[in-house]
Amino acid sequence: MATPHNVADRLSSTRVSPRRPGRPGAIAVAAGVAFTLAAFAAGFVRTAPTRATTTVRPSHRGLYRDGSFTGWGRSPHGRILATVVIRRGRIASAEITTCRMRYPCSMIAALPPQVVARQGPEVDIVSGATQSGEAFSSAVSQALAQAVRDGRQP
Amino acid sequence: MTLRRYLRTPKGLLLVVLLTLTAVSARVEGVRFVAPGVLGAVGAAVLLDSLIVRGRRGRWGFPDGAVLTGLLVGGILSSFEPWYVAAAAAAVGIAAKHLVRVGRANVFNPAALGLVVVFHLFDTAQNWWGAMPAIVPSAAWPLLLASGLLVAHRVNRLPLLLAFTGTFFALCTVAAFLVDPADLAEVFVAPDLLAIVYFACFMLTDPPTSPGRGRPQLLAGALVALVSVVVFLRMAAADYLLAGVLAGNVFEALRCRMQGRAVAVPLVPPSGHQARVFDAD
Repeated sequence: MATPHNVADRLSSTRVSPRRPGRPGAIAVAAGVAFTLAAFAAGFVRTAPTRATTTVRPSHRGLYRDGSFTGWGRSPHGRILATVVIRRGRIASAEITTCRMRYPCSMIAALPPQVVARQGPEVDIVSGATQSGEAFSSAVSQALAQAVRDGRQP
Repeated sequence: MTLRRYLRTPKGLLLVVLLTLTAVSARVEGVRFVAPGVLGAVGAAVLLDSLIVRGRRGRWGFPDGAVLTGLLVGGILSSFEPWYVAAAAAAVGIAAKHLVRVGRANVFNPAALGLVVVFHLFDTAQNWWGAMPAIVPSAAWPLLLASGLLVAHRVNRLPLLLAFTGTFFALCTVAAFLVDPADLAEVFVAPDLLAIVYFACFMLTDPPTSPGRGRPQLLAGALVALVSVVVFLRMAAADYLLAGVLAGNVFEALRCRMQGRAVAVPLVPPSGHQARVFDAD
């Protein structure tokens, strides 16, 4: 049951026009802003030198040893783990093993078959998922780099 | 209530702000790409909300809360998603707004809940284009920050906003020393940074689903940040911010239930002697 005290309490806590903050309120807001900016600046400095990059290596056609190889690819929106299987020196299959992207990897579901068809990490650009595609290509490149036979140059 | 007076209310102000941001961003993103999603979300939200309110109260009313829900859903979902996905997200949010309630108010932020549900059902993409990631930074940042801080101040949620952003960036900074910093780099730069500000100013500060007083705001902001960072690091899911705010909504519902009062409390016009109770959004 709503008592007058409860009603007054509820109304006062949600008035539309905010009360003018006094000195303690202003100090708290200023401290909050300063803390936020300091935390952001520290994190920005810490993460900036290692910001994710994606590179697409040239094709490794005909240079691989048999086995299953994995590689991570990064993008500004997360990372992808790709697994590439090599049989008889050729790419037999490629798949997205782990999708830690903040966009669905279903948008680039058409890309793994392209790796098999083209026998390399070069894939089409997917509209709306450009960076996811680049991350996948980078992951495949990293996996293939492990599959390259010793002494061979990609 | 006159239009001028309505626009001075929190909902009126947020409506103007979101319409402005959406219009500015849509010009750059391409109106023909974003219009289906926005119109689908707003249309579905308005239609469903109007029918439910008509059924419950026996009269028609302007569903301003539903328009806000639709604008938020449309502005967050990727423009590559079909219009019916945006409509489904908005409809889920509005349905939950009327079904999941404690006392007189809804528990969950409708837009956040709808987006999380369609994300897990349809594997949807969220690019937060409404936060103006495609606009030149010198124009986007002042507009976003000024409008966001104005809205947060108007609804008395500045402590919540600062508690969230401060804790979020502090946790990400600490985590950058514990895990590979590259895993966290994106939260410190656009477009994610714009999305975080957009989220903190316009979704986190939703009056019916967030605490109204200082100390609970600090607790809720820290909790939302903690859940968001954990989801980000453990799952790298696109809905890490939205998952955080839903956790904050549950915290607020439990807190108010333990105190024996409704989650949301009425909003009173600044100069009005006759209190008008607004629908919880």
